[in-house]
Amino acid sequence: MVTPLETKHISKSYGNERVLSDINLSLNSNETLSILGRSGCGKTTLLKVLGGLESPDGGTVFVNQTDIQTLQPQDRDVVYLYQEALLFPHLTVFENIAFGLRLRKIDEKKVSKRTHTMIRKLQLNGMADRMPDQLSGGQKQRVSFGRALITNPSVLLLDEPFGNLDAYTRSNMQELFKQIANDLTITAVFVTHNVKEAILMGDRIGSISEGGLTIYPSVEAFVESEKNGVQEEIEFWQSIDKNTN
Amino acid sequence: MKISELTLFNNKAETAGIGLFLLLAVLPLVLGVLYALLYSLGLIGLISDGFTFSHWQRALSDQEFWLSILYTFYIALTTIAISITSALAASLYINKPLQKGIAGFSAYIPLAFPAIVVAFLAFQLGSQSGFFARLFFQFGIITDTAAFPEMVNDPFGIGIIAAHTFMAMPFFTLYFMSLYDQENISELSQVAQTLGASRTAQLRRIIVPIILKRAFPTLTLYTIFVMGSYEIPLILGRQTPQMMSVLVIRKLRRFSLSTIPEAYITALVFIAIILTILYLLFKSRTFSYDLDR
Repeated sequence: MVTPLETKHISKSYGNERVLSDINLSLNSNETLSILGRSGCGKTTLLKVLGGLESPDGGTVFVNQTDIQTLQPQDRDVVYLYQEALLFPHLTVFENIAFGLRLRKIDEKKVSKRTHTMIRKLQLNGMADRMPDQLSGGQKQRVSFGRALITNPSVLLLDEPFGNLDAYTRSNMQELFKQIANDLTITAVFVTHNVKEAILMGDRIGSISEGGLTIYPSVEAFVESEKNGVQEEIEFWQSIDKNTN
Repeated sequence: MKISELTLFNNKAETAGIGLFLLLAVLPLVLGVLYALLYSLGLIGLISDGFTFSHWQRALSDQEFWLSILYTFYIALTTIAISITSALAASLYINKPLQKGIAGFSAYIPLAFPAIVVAFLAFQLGSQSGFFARLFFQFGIITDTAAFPEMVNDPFGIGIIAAHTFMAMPFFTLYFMSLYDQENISELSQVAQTLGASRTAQLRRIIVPIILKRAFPTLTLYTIFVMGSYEIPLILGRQTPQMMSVLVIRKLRRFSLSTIPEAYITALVFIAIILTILYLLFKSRTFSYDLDR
């Protein structure tokens, strides 16, 4: 069975600061790996290395068991999704979503069919002709998802994509992502600093601390670990619970 | 009560502001246009002989008038096209050096030159008796300074276009560089790249369309500014064809008073053209600028 994403001994430093140290990971098809970590711990750097937007100091990245280390980001079949929606401001919702298909010079009828199907999946019916500045934050993030997913990339990299959304919209988007990721058999790395989100979104969970990545064998092992801040969070909610009772 | 007083004050301030704007900015223009219109119809002026369309008939049948319109458009559009292309290239490929040091400072220098100074400099450098002609002659590249190619007072307006480009290009370069940061274009390019866009596709589909769309009002206004420029075409242009502004002044100052109504008609047509262009361009501002379509 082909492994969609694998890294071996990835390391990266900025000056004297070691951000990533000997990172090894391997993802199965249609699997989402949540990576939890504090701000500045190297989560985004890891995603950028995987996407080809940053060069590692050492190590190798494999996509579908092919070494992609020397490939440009546009040739990796790995799509990076930012915290901000970053929609192209001069294009409509339809054209934003269809962007990747147009680059691949796909037949106009197929572009139209696939884009409208994606718009329906994203529950953005009737908004195809809207410009980005006519959308809410949640709607923008949906379009951003659709734009990333429509080309069916081998790996999707999500860098705290719901970080700027309110709790209700965030919860909706989490459900929507899980549903679409399942439908389209997406393999993804989902980076977040939110413990609950890491558990909800990931089939497996990892955490980055002091440059090292720990991938937990189960949710229980993740919860029991003292390295990732979950215990502090549990204690906090238990203390609230005690105080209110 | 206080709220209503505040609202009333705001309304008063707004009303006064709009009134002042109309009085100082719009009224003189309207009066000027009205005066020109009445003059062109023979209703006022030194040679007024009662209502007539004869001045309009004479002006509109004059070949020089139409040639002047075409020449004005040619100069303005060529200047803007060259300036935009070179400014885009500079802002995208040498933006880092332009943000610091001598190169950064030098980008601002042409902005300090008044149009008339630029025109004289261009004349002294580019004419057949100018600096470059003498330099070429001294190096033996040409046998006579008159053999130097006509770049000033030439039929293609090379001198005028060069002088305007000298002024416009640094301005657009600095403007595009600031838009590049404001519009988050660096990150949008990265997004496009991970979606599969090569550098060329990023330029064609993202970077250039976004910059041009945002810069559109400024580009339009600058084009109008070039169309209405006077000193540069006066010094660097030919007797014929002339840009509309130069033609208007020439007709106004002729010994014969009979050309004054024609001067006003040329000015009125110029204003009508500009207003029509502005109306058409700004009527629908949502059209896409994707260069691939």
